[in-house]
Amino acid sequence: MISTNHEPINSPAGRPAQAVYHIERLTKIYAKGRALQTTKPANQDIDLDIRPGEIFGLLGSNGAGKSTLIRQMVNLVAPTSGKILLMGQDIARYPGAVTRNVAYMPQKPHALLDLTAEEAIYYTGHMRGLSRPAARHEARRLVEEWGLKDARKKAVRHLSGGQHRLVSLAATLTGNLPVLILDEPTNELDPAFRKQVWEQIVQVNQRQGATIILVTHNVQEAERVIQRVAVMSDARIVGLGRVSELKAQMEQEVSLELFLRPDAAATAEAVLGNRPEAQRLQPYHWSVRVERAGGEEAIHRILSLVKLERLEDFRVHTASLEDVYMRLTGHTISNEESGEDNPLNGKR
Amino acid sequence: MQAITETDRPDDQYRADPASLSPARAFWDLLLIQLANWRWSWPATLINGLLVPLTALFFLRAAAGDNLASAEFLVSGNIIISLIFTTMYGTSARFSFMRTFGVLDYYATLPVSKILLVLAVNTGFLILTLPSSLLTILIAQLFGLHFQVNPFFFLIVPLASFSLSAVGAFVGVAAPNFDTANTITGILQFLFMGCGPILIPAERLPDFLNIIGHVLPSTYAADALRHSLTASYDLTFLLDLAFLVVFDFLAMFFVARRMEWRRG
Repeated sequence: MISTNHEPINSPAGRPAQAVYHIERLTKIYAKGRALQTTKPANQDIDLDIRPGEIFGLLGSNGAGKSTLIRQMVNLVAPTSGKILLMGQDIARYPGAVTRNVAYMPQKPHALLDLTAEEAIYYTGHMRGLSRPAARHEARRLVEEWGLKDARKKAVRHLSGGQHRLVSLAATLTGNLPVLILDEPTNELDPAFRKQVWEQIVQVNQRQGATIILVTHNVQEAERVIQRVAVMSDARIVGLGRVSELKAQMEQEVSLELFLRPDAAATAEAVLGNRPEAQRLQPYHWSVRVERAGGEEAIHRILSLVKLERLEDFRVHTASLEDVYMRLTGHTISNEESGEDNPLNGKR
Repeated sequence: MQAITETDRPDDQYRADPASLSPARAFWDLLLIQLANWRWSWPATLINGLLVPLTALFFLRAAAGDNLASAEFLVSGNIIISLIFTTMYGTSARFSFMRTFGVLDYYATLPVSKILLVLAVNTGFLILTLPSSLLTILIAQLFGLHFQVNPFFFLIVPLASFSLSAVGAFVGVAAPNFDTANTITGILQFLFMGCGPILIPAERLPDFLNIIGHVLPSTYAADALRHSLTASYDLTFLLDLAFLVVFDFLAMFFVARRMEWRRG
């Protein structure tokens, strides 16, 4: 079981605790002539508070500005305007606030490729300020607990994509820093590894009280872990709140998902193509929003038009985080491939 | 604020304390990480490190003919190129690689300084190039050249190479891509070697090149190394050392203040 419902840490008086991150009117426009060749903002007027001890999710499609936002939060990109306070300190003036308190795992970790898995974890812990024996102990423990024993003496560059990601995540966790920022922590992982990663994230949050900021495309799995979420679209935050609050905005609706046979694509396009409540997620996969009141009739009508024999499968469900995302941004997230942090790609 | 306090944590022993990270400890870790890069490819590095200077040595010796003074200048110049310019070139390439592939981001989010990273990369390259230079000195004895390796040599080598490595790191970080960094470093290397008595004695260089050479660290680095190799210590040797110390402090200042490892 990897779900977590615990509340973020509050002050003894019951007032909300001061934000771990306080972001104010943050805007980033990359200089013309570099990377994107545009003056279009990568982030625009972002206001955001991240509370101590919460697992916070940042959702958005490619180019929405998530990676730019978290790179600004770890001081790797300088804001054009606005400010970021980390535990009350302006990170532009006190960059040490980030290096002392935040562990960051980029989407494509390219560092320490020539070290072995154990060394990569050890050196990261040691350079963060763990004693030599503690760093060694942590490296051994994480390698064993995360099933990386086979990879222990292999260079990181020779590991599989999944093992590499696990090593990077283990290195990020070492040192027990109070804030973790993880960019797509479950990319390239098979289901068993993904489950393990989500469990570790919850465990670190609950055992150490660490504040965890997650960027992920894996909305369905993350939904069970994330407590609050910001949805980004076109450089702005378009939705912010507890997952349950955001989902409550759609409680009057259910979703009908249709999985079509390949020969039914044209029919589905003809029946559903002009309906604003219908959205094609993949060539043979449609989602239709249906009002809960009287929904039985609407669902029956849609199924009659599409014809049951043309369906491979269908399901009806209440709003998920992904539905909320689709409502806020007008498009889906799960099927998009991510490439934001590839240094050979553009900035956003 | 309601920060996560020490007592909230069940495993404080494994909570990092950045205050305990001394510069020496951080430098040692960074150096070992740099050296690990060559752990898997050391035979090729070793062969390359030995073949190149030896081949160059034979060519240079042939070019100098029987003129021992000329040969001495050329061979010491060759050692200087290997120890200082190769290190600068390597440092530039390494930083450019780290910048391009986001490796620099990793170090930027750790409590380690940029100066220590430049020093570690520089020292890593020195450790790799030093054996071939020492071998060159040894073989030079067979050709009748009298070079010495004394404690001054081991003081001057890092002192001389750091200021140029800092230039290499600057170029590697500032250049938009790997190829541009290589081209700029190549041009700088050519300028540093040409503007000043590195391979050609000062008296055979045009005046304007000698004048330019007076403001370049490479001139003082080469002169100090030459003094050390030939064990001829005089006032110019002390001046060389003083200039190198000043250049190194300037390099550290600029690395700390001006070398931006952020991308945006």
